[in-house]
Amino acid sequence: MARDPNSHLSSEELAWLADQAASTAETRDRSLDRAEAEAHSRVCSECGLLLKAEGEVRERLFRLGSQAVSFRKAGCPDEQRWAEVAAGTLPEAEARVLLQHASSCDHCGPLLRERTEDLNPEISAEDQELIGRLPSASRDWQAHLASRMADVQQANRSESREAQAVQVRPSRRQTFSWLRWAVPVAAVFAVAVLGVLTWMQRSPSLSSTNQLIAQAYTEQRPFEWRFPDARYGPVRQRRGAPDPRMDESPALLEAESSIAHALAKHPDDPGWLQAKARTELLEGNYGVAIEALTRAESSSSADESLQLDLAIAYGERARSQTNRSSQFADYDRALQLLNQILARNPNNEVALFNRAVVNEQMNKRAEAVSDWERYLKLDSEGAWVDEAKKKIGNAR
Amino acid sequence: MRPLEDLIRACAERGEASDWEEFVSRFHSLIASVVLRTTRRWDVTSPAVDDLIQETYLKICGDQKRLLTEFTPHHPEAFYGYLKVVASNVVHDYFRARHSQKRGLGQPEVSLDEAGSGTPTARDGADEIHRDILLREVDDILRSTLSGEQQSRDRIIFWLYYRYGLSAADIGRLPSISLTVKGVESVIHRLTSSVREHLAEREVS
Repeated sequence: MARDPNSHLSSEELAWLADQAASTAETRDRSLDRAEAEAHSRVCSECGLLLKAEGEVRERLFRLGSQAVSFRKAGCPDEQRWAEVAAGTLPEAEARVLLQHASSCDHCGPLLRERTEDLNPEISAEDQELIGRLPSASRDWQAHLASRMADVQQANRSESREAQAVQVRPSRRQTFSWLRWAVPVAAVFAVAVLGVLTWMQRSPSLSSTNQLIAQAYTEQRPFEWRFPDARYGPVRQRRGAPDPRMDESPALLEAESSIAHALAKHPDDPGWLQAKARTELLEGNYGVAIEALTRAESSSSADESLQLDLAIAYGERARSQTNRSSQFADYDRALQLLNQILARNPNNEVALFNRAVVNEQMNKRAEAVSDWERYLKLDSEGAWVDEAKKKIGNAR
Repeated sequence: MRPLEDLIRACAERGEASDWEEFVSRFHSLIASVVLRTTRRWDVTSPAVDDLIQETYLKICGDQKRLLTEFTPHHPEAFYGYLKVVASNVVHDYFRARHSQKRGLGQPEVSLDEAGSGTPTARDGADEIHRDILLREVDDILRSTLSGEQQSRDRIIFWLYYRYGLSAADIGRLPSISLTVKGVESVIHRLTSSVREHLAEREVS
């Protein structure tokens, strides 16, 4: 169907015209008429301006990626992992964690691009022709290699048989009757121990994962809120690339991998959902954190630590809200949750500290000072105390 | 031609020359294409392509157990993925070893980053700061625009496309994305429009 020359460009058409590299599939499937759309953008000043703006924003966005210096950071996975991601040989949950990392890492992002290009299943006609001309494409070459492969395999088998023969050769010691049962028992015991150790290594516990998250928080504390069970760390300024706060944290990457594995098996486990929410919070994904915590809360109601995390999530989301009433609503939710915790347990230091932060951010100075003072009665020394004292000084 | 499963089993268990010949012939295009493209990353004039193809096959045949475990009848594509990973690793290992040998012989040192990914060019300080500010600003827009389960996926798509230059087709093929080219482009178009609108609003205010 022909395009109505008087109708404004749809957002699809705008994107399509601005993006020279858009796939031809789109053109074919949706019958977008490029010439007609272009003609309209030339005569319609409104659409012309929109198209110009769309083109400019794309250009700005593409410039974000060009020629960045790319040095490996402590949290970057081994280079070989990117081939596994590109080839699709990793479990989906693990691949997602790695993709998340690559999408904000100037070292790994380009490596992932290279591997996806290298491992692309589509072979260009030019390469196909080149491959056909390689000596390895000839039948003789392949027959020769196949014969070598058969020899190699034969040699491997012989070696393996010899090794087995050495293992089963009877020794004089086997004449001792007690060894007849002691050896299998010891073997079973060793296998069991090995199994348990392997299982422990492969199945990181929730508590060890939470420790990793707490460690990541301490190393690169991204906000003022106190995290439960985490040691003190100075607040890092927000600047740089997306999630610079946590990009360099191997502890967080490891925790995310464990969480992805665990949630793939137990998607509704409140403990793992809470751990996921904590990692999302550290990465600034408050919305995802709130969703995960709400799901966790539905199967584990009135859990104090979930309420504490939810308060942080609402408080952190409030900071990013541009709409005043939404901001107030989020701060208010955070405050209500912290009030509930403190009503049950007035000596909860983390809740008190965080309520002081909420009050401070809501410009309720008197309430903030009152909370800091109460906090200092519960906690008398250490870096958290120093921070609280500094806050009181600032508030006054 | 035998079914793939029978061929792999025959190679792993019996391993006669005729089995391997069929195997080599069947996967030659796949392995050669990965070797060819990966070799170009390091050295466009390398004559080693056939040697590296041979090395890949020998590595595969040297690990018969892996050969069997990597193949599952319901997901034959995973086996192709395994072959591609072996080929890619063989090439990178070869060139890394060659570069470290050169260093050992007193030839000028070439870092792996330089050799593998092109020479990185430093931006000047002001450019870097502007870039960082815009990255943060755009990412904040994405976070506030997106919600739900797709938030993480859509942000990955957006940044892989704009920041690291992956094509929509390459992104769509990635595991845990699994979208058609059209699906990926639709995410990019939607988010780009949203970023354009938010940036315009911010500039006005």
